[in-house]
Amino acid sequence: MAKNLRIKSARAAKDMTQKDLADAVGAVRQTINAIELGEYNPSIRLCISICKALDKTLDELFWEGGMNSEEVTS
Amino acid sequence: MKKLLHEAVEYDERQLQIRGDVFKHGFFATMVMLLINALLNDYGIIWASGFHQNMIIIMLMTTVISVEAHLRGVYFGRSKGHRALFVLLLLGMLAGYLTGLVVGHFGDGGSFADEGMLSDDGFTLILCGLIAVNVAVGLIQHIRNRKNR
Repeated sequence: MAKNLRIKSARAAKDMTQKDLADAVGAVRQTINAIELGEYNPSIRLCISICKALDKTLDELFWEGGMNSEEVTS
Repeated sequence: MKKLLHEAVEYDERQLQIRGDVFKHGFFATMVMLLINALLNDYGIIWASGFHQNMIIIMLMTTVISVEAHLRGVYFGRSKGHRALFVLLLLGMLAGYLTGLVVGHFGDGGSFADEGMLSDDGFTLILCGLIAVNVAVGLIQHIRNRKNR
């Protein structure tokens, strides 16, 4: 699985550490690290929590290839 | 039920997945160990009494699970940290005490095996060794948990 650099940059933009984000979503730092490294595929529940914590949408953080939702549904 | 819910929030989803994997591996390791032991017994190789064989297999499985859990980053629940430390120290003291007893028996002419079978002292020594590994892994994990918080 490819690295998720979008979470990393969104987290950096909000000046949050991995630990801060982990605490905000009810996970541990190692889990956030594994998601950013592409070593763990999070559940939709955790994805939504991360999006809320970083003020981003699911598409912005997790959709591969930079496609938006209109392109997917059409 | 309340306790179950409380425990559920202690661990995140990745932790639950890792724990599931570790216990699955422990289960298969037990199956393999039981199969090998059954084949050995079938071929007439009785390396210890029935009770000793089964206890060693159980402790070996526990050790496999502890080591793998530690290597994969399993952590204790927040509310269980002190309880786990207490149990670990108790087990460590028990293992130390029993090892001392066995070493004393060896000094008085006791042996590790009698007539090709594990003796009581040999069994106790192996058990203490496995308990010591579990205690060491648990203590390292406890220290790592404290660092991560």
